[in-house]
Parts: sequence; C-alpha cells; structure tokens
Amino acid sequence: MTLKYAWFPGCWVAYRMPYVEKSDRLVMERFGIEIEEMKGATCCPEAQFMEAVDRRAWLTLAARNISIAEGMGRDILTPCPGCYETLKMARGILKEDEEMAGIVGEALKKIGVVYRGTSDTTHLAGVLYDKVGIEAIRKAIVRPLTGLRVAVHYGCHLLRPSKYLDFDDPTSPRKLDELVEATGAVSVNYMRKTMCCGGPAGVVDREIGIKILREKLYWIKKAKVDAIVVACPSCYMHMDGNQPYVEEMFEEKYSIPVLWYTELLNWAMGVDPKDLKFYHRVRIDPLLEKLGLT
Amino acid sequence: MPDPKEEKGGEEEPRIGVYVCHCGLNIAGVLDCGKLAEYASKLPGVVVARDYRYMCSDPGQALIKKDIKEHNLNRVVVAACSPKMHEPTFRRAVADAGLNPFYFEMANIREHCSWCHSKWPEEAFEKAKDTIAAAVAKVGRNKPLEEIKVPVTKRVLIIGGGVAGISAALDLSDMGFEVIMVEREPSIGGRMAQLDKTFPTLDCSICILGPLMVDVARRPNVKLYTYSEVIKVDGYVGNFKVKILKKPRYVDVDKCNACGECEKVCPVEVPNEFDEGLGWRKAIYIPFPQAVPAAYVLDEKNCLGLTPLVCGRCMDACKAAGADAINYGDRPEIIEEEVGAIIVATGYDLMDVSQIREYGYGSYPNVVTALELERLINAAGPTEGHVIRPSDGKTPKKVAFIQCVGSRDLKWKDYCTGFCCMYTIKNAILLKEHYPDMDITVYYIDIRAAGKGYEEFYRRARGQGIKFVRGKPAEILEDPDTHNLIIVGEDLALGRPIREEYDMVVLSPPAVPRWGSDKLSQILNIPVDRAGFFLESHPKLKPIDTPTEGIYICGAAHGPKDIPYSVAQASGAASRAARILSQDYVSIEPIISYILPDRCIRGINPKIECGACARVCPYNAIELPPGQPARVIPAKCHGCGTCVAECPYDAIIQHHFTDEQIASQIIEYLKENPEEKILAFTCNWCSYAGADLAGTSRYEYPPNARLIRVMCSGRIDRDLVYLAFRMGAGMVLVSGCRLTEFGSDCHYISGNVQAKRRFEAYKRTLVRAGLTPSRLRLEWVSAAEGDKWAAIMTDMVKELKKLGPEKIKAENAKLRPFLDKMLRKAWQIQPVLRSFWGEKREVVKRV
Amino acid sequence: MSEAVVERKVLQELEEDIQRLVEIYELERKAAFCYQCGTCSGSCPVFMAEPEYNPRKMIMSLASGTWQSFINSEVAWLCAMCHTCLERCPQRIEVSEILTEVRNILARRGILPDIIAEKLRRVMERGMSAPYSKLIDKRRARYGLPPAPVFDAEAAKLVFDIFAVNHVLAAKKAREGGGSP
Repeated sequence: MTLKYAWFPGCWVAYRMPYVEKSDRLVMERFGIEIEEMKGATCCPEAQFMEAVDRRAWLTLAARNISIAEGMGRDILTPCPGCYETLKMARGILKEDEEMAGIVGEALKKIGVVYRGTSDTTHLAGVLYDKVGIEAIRKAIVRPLTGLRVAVHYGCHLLRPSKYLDFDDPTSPRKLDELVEATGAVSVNYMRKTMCCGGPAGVVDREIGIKILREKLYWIKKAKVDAIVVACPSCYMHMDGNQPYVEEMFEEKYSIPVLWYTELLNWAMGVDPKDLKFYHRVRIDPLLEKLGLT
Repeated sequence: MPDPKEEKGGEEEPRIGVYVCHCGLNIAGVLDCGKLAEYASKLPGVVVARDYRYMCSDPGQALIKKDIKEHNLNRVVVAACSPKMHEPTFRRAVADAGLNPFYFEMANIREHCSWCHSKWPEEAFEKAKDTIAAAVAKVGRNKPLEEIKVPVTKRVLIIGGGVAGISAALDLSDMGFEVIMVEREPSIGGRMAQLDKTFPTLDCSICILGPLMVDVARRPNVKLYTYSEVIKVDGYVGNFKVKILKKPRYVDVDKCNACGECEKVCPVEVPNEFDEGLGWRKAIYIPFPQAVPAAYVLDEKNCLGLTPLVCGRCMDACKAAGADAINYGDRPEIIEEEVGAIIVATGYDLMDVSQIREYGYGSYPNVVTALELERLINAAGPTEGHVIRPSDGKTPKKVAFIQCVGSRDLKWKDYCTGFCCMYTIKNAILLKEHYPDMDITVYYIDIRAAGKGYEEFYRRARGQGIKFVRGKPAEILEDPDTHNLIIVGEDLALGRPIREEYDMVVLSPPAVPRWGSDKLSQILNIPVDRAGFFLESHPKLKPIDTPTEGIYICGAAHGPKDIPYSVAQASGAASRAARILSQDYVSIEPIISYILPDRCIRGINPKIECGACARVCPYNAIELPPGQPARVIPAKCHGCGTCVAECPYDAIIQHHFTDEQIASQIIEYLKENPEEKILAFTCNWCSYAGADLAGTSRYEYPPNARLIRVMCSGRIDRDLVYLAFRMGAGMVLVSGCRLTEFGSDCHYISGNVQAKRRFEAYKRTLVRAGLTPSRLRLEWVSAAEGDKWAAIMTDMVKELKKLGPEKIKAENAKLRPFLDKMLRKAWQIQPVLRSFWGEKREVVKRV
Repeated sequence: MSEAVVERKVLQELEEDIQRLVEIYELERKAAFCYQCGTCSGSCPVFMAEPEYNPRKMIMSLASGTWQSFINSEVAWLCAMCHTCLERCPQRIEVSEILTEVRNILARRGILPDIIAEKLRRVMERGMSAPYSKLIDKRRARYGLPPAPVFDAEAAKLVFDIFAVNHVLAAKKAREGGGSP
C-alpha cells in the first residue's frame, strides 16, 4: 500500500522539536507512508494569533499553503494538530462562505496563487488509524509495553470544531487510545479527558495556563497512570515543560512523564528510546526502568 | 359507499346575478362600484348587476334572494371580500332561496384589490373588472353539488391506556358510546402509574389514577384489549375498520386472581421495565400491584421455554393454587373491530441521555434520571421508597438536579419538554420531606411554572431550603474513588465558576414520542411534526384534530405535557369524537375528485396498472381494484386535487375546480393586455390566505397579478400553466404552502411536494422551448406571510417591467407552436378553448 | 514604512474599521439566539482559571449591543481557542468563532498582547511563528533529518500588506506610545 502525501511539518515541529519529526518519520517509513516536502510554505498560520488578528489573512495564507500541495497533486499530511485544524477549517470555510471565498480569491490573485480546494489535510495519527490500520500496527509490535498505564490526551485541535474536522468523535474519541493500546499499553480513562491542556492560554497569560494544566494533572493523577501520551507539539511543550510550576503554585506533586504517541509506537516496535533523543523535562528514566527499556 | 351522482343539471343557460359590494368605503373608497356593476351587467350570461353598501348584511342578502326569485337567476356572483371571509354566508343565502350553494362564486376585490392597490386606482379598477369577469365565467360552468352523507358506526377506538386515554374513554362511555381501548403494555395506567406523587398537590399518583383504571375496565360499554397493538386501519370517518393484534399472555385473565404463586417459583429474573431497570421481576409477572387487568403475564422472550419439558413450574404452581390460569398454548390473535372515530393517546418516552457524554449518565452510577428517582422514592418501588445511591446503597446527603438535559438544545431536542421544572420541584420537595437534612440544589436555565398553583409550588420549594442556581452545568466529573460527582459550570447570578461535589445527581431528560409512533402514524396515515409527535390540524384553533377526519390526538402523544393538560385535552378529544358519533350520518364536502371510469386507462386496458393517482394521494383515498378503473373513495378524499394533475390520461376531475372551470378563469383574465399581467395560482389554505393578509395588513403592491384559487398547489396541472402562457401571460406564479428542508406545511400533507416536482419538470420544458426563466416562478407563501406576498409581487412586477411587453410578445410567438401542440392533448379544456378561439384555430383538436 | 505612509494607511484602516463595526451587527444577530444558559462559560477552561474572562458575558454584550464594555481591554485575548464552548452551545452559537472576529476588531484598534504582536513580526521576518535559530539545520542533522524547510516570508509579507496587518502593529505601538495613531 503506497500512501503519498505532501509533508507539512509546521514551524514548531520543524524548528523546535526535531525529535518529534524524527520519531514520526521513523513510523512513516515503517508503514510505507511516503512524504514529499512542500516548497515555499509559510506558517499554517496558527489560528491563535493569525485568525484572531485578521481572519481574511489567515484564510489567505492557509489557502496558499494548500495550493502548494495541490500543485504537487497530493493531500497534506501533518504531525501538528494546530496546522491540521487551520488547514481543514480554511478549506471548509472557503467552501461554504461565498463572501469570504471572494475576498480570499481576490487576495490570492494579487499574489499569483490559484486555490482550488482539492487537497485535503490529515494528521499522521489519522493516517495510521484509518489507512494503515490497527491490525498492521499490532503486527509490527515486537516489544509490547505490557503493564504501561497511560492517560491519552487528545488536545483540542484534533477534535474541535467538529463541524470542520473529521479525525474522531469529539465527545468520545477512540482512535488515539486504540493506537496506544496496539502497543500493549492500557489507556486509562480519566475525568476532563477532552479538556484543553491550557497551552495557548498560557502563552498569553502564564498563570492561567498553569491553573488549567493543574486541573488536567489533578484528574490524570487520580487515574493512577505511568505517563501521559499526546499527539500535539503545543500540548507536549506545555504539559511536559510546566509541571514544576503547577507543583509550585498548588503545592502538589505530579512529575508525570509526557510521551509523544509515535515515541511510544517506536519503543514497542523495537527502537531504542535513547536513539529517539526526545527532550523530556519530566525525566522518564524511572519509566524506562519499569518497562525494562534501559 | 355510493359514488356521487352524475350531475344532473348545470346544462341550462346561466342566468347570472352580479353584486358589487361597497363594503362601506373599504372597496368603494378605491373602486367605483357603480361602474363595476355596469361593466358586469354587460358580461355574457349576466341578467342583473347591482352595487350595494354591505352585501353580507341582512338587507344585502335579501337583495340576492329577491333577485333569484324575480329574475329567475340560476347563478350568483358577489364581488366583495375574500371567499375565506363570506363564502359560507352567501352560500347559505342562495341555498335559502332554493339555489344549489355551489352555483355561487365570489370575486375578491377587497383583500386582493382595494386594500392593497389604492396607489394605483386605474389599474386596480381594471383588475377588479377582470376578477369579476373571471368569476362570472367560472360560475357559468359550475355544477350543482350535493354534500355526501356517510353513515356512522357509533363506536370509538382509543389507542393508549394512560391517563389521557382513560379520561377520554370514561367521557365517551358516559355519553353512551361503545369504547374499544387498545393498550400495548399488559396493564393500562401509562406513565402516571409509575409516578409517586403529582405536582402541585402531592397527591399519590396511583391512588388517584387507580379508581379511574378500575372504572374504565368494568364498564359494560368499554372493551379493553391489553397487551395488544393496532396493526392496520382502513376506511374513513364514521367507518373505520381496525385490525388489532392481541399478543399471547399465556395467562387467562378471567381465571387469574393475581395470587402470585407462579411468580414465587419462576427461576428467571430480569430487569423490571416498570422500575426503569432498577429492580427485578420474574418472567411471569404482574406489572405493578394495581394493574388493570389484575392478572399476570408471561414474558415469552425471557421464559425458559413455555413447555413443561423445560420448566413448567408456574403452571404447576397455578394448578396447585386452584386457578389453573396458565396456558402455554396461547397464541396471538387478530381481532377486527369497526369504529366511527379514533383517538390516539399513546403518550411519551424519555430520551436516552447516555448519548450526552458530558453528564456521564450510564457510566457514573450515581447519575440517574428523574423517572428513575421517581421509582426510588415510590414506596412500591425497588427500594421500598428509600432513596439510595446506586454505587453503594447509601442515602445521599447532597443531591443536585440538572434541568434541560437535552431539551432546548439544538444538538438534541430543540423544544422545551415543559413539565420537568415542575416534577423536579416536586421531587426536591419530596426528598426534603423524607430527608430533612438533605442538601438539595436545582441547576436550571429557566424555571417554567406557568400552570395553576405552579408558581406557588415553586415558592414552597424555595421556602423549604431547596436551592435554585441559574446556570446549566457544563459537565459532571466523577471522583473514581468515591463515585461522588463534581458539577462544573457558571453560577450566572454571581458570575462565578461553580465547582460543587454531590453524592447524587438527577437529570431531567427530554420527552420524546413513544416508540412505535412512527409506525402508528403510517398505519393511521396521520402526520407527525418535526419532533415526531402527532401533528394537529391547526396549532391554535384545531389542536386536537388531525388532517384525517375522525382521528383525534390527545395527551403527550400530541406533545409533552403535564397531567391536567392531558386530561383536559382528552376530554376535548372525546368531545370532538362525539361530534361524529352522535350523528347518524357525517357530511362530506363534495369538492372531491372523481375518476371518469371510461377515461381511466385501467378500465380501457386492464393490462396497464398505472396507479399514478393513488401514488400521490396523501390520504390513500384511491383504490385500485384489479383490472378495473381506479376509484376515489369519496369519504377519504380531502379534495386537494393532486391526483387530477398527476393523471397522465387526464381522466380525473375535481368537482368545483375542474380544468374547464379554471381554464375559463385563465382565459377571462388574460383576454386583454396579457403581457402586463402575472397569472398567479394560489393554494386556498396558505398562499391565497397570505395574499389576503397582505391586503388586510394594507401592504401596497402593484396590481398586475390575477389570482386563481385552487385548494392545493398540487392541483396545478401543467396544461393550465401552458394555457396561461398561450394566452400571452407576462408571468406565471405558482404558490403553495411552505416546503422547507424541515418539512412541509401543506394542508394536504404533500401536495406541495408534487407541485414542486411538476414545476421543475415543466419549467425545464418551457425554458428549453424559449421561455425566459424569470417568467415562471414557484414560491411558498404561508397564511401568515402577507408581507412576503407583497414583496414577491413587487419583485415580479419589477422584473416584468424590465422584460417589457415587446420582448414578452416576441417570446410568446416563439412558444406558440409548442404550446398549441401540448394544449391539443388537453381534452378536458377543449370546450373552453373552442368557445374562445372558435373552430378555426389549430389549438382545437378535431374530435 | 515612513510615518506619512503609515498615517495614510491608518486613516484608510479606520474606515475599514468602521466597516468592520458594521460587520459586528452580523455578530449581534449571530449572538442573538443566546438564552444565557452558562454552558459556554461553564465549559471554558480559562473562565475556570480566571472568572474575569467570561465568554457568556461577552456574547450577551454582543447580543444586547453593549459590546463597547469589553472592546477596550485585552481580556478577550485570554481565550485558549479550545472551541469547547462552540461544541457545546445548545443554540449552536459559534462562540469561539464570534469572539475570534471580535479579536479582529480589537486588533485593528491596536489592542493585542505583546506575544501575539511578536508572532506577527516573526511571520513577517521568517514566514513562521516559531522562533528561528540558525543552528537548526545542524540540530536536525543530528537527528538524521534533512534541513528545515525554508518558509516564504516574502509571501507572508505580501498577504499582510494586502490586508494591512502591519497597521495592527502600528496601532498597538501608537496606543502604547501615547501618541495619536
């Protein structure tokens, strides 16, 4: 099965988290997902600052990015839910809002870009679940992570607004849980599972981001898990990087390791964790020891 | 059931009297009524023409009656207000004078002329002239019609044995009519039997319902079929034929004395539906202690085997007890009954709110629905009236109620269920009375306490220390260790986040139609509304009738409601049914369809089945006897005329709205200056009424339209549209009841759907033949949309003027050969065409 | 861009601004279905952490035409854009999207947080919102990854020009600098 996509890593994965891209690429190679780099793309652009400052510019730049993939005759594959949401929403909005489509069309004409809306966008987790399939992934597992209890955190932008996105059911998502359980780990249910981690809020107001993160960690801890698994770079940075501040503000102990979902997949497929060279602020050595992966 | 007689009469020369009403200054202020009368007097067939101040008054009517006698009139036209206003008045007047009431027509020169065209007095006058001329032309072709009488079976079927069904049954039984009640459950009683206490009096529910249940069952003129379902209904008002499936109980109701010995020995235990699954029952069980009939029932699905080879313990126990009431040989039975009227009282279910993931119902054990709480509080319930937490059996100390869980929510049910605020207040009060120290909070968006004593009841609850917080919780979290629940939301009064822990949470789900309502709606051929509840004929003035005469709805089957409203509506349904049952005959308006047996293809060539008419009939009023012409069942026909337009062989006529009659109106309207006119076909119930409303509301618009009233937009035959364009009409408008993605408002259920389908087809054809598309329009105008009618008219006239008469004339010339070809096939209107064009024109078919 | 050009553009944008204000009447209409249930605020993670940020109150202000109350503060920028309010609203009001459009209007007035302005600058400079590092290719090479994609800052600048996004930054500077825009 040949899956061919235009690769849109997004600026955060490409420029700040090479370990995420490396881990994803390993998985893509393993399952025959072929990617071609997109030349001349820009930031997707991130909705939090771009859509909120000027919706028209947001849609225009997003449409421009999609048109690059159209030129390549491929759909877009991205590791970042933020980019996934922006590119999906732009395509959806331009299809239904005639007035906006007109404004964006005019702007694109000025910069010499033709947008047809023919390229769709998927997140890598979606390709793994829908196209590669759980069975194929299970077959690739050589080192089941039995006994590993994880809290799977979907984040916001894979699921909402569900009107434009089609990754999974917005109130009871299952796909990431099943991907994780394919490795032999157990995905443990916990309260506030579909709640935002507070990352983008924290970008604007640090304290609010910490308070929101505490709510997530409180319920995750109650579920008694070994690790949190995420599929979003922003959630990763926030949930991994800011636990000490939560502990300080609330005088509670957390230190729950945060893992990238393909990191887990790679472990189970026999890759040495050291080779992945993930940056973990919350140390994962105790976890690796427990799993016998040192 | 006899067919209407072939009309005798209607062949004599018309002697028409025309009366132009001033209506004070309402008409005379804009139109010169004297001159209109003068114009009318010169029209063919008109013998006398007068104008008068108030035609509907006694002296006005006397004028008509006098003229009928003195001038030997056999037709009457009154040019005045809308026929929806005074057609019945004048029909009675001419009938009094000995004339058939269908020899009367009205010309609407008030709502459709003087009231909305005062800015264009000259053109308005021309429109009034045309309207009168068209009415004169039609009345000349009217036939005398007699109302059809059908005999009435003085028995009534009531589907559903809840409080509404029982109330209706008692009323009708008191009136002396035979009642047949069919109840699907093994016992009557419905939802009310499940409740503990009722608001606002805190009566014990089963204590007040029980006596009614016993009463209805013991009455000699009430036949009660429980554990039974209605599976087929045929016939029409006064004469329904009903098939009832009686499911096997395996217990003889007459022999069973409810001793309970069978239950003791039954080895099977399953969740108890009556207790909402919170308790258990055996496979042989009595639904609840006060069940009527007071007999057990054997649930064959869960029984081990219905044979002594597998079990047989209940049968043995029953024999030993001396009753010997159990019979494994019981079989389903089909029973046929004949009734004159049917009342639907099938009640409601509660929506399954486990789909609303935010509240965790179904996953968190201590989140329950209000009906589940009802069973816990009820002393006859699974916990003998002790309210306990399902997770650990302990009494909760802190309880929250959440309102509007799924109601008033576009994601689930957009309507307000209406009785949950009250039952929550009642449940809160009951909890407080049982457990005075319990901490109770009700979270709501609005409290709806509109009934008698309801607001006072709400005040009583607050006085007892029950807290009410405005703010619908966004989600419920469960502490995995304690199974306590944490409510997260905003307290609107304080503008602060809510984060409160509770032992138990009670949800108020939406009420939805009882399962199987969709199947029943097809069996009875009555429509349901968007939410699936049975649809009433008119939301304000006919909230109990359905579009099918003789079938009435009451109680929650019509829409969620509380007990007092259900009981009142049930009495209303009984009264509506009694209207039919108390007569020996029921009169049916003769404006119905009639299939000409020697024109129907099924009669001409029995190999051809056709059946197009039957397919589009919303009332299943057309029967197709094998090898014979199709036949309209007069009592079932509602007179929409959709079949008339559907018949590919032009074999159907609609009395009082024949193609001939309508064609004569079209020709009259478009004789002069047709390019400046918009020929508008409007349906009686919506668009015509909408146009009336435009006039009543004095919305002004230019007077280019000439309206033809049909009962339903489904009546509009493509030949009539072709005729309009052949006459040179500038534009043609087809207008009917609203049809949107949410459904149809059509008075005849689906006439407008057919109208749209046909419109799209003939418009395509006409455009291909050279018609500018904007000259033919389809619009939906409801009776409440007078402003929309005026706006459409204004818009169409603007477009018409933009096209200009020259272009239209040129186009009409191009269309002529095609239209002539099509009209040649329309055999029904040939006489009219001949009288207008004479023998020479090609449009006339050589017969 | 010279001061004079900025000023001319500013006046032009003020006009656009007023046009946008007219758009807000659409926002009023869209928000009019709100029946003040509190589901959006109840679901909002930011409201939970900071009650001053209340999406329900903002929607109510829009629906009742009193939006001027929050049009002059940065509070509206605390939104995490998690869209939970939009998903759960029983009247299908697109709360987060409406508030995003409100932020468009705030931005035109120069009301936006520093970090958002910073990201805009980064996009104009490097075509992306993540901070740039010239060591990135070396770092990626250590992971066996090809060099990082070069983002097209010129294209971003062109689009920004078309919609005068740079005016947003100028307006912010003017607001904070104390001088008139």
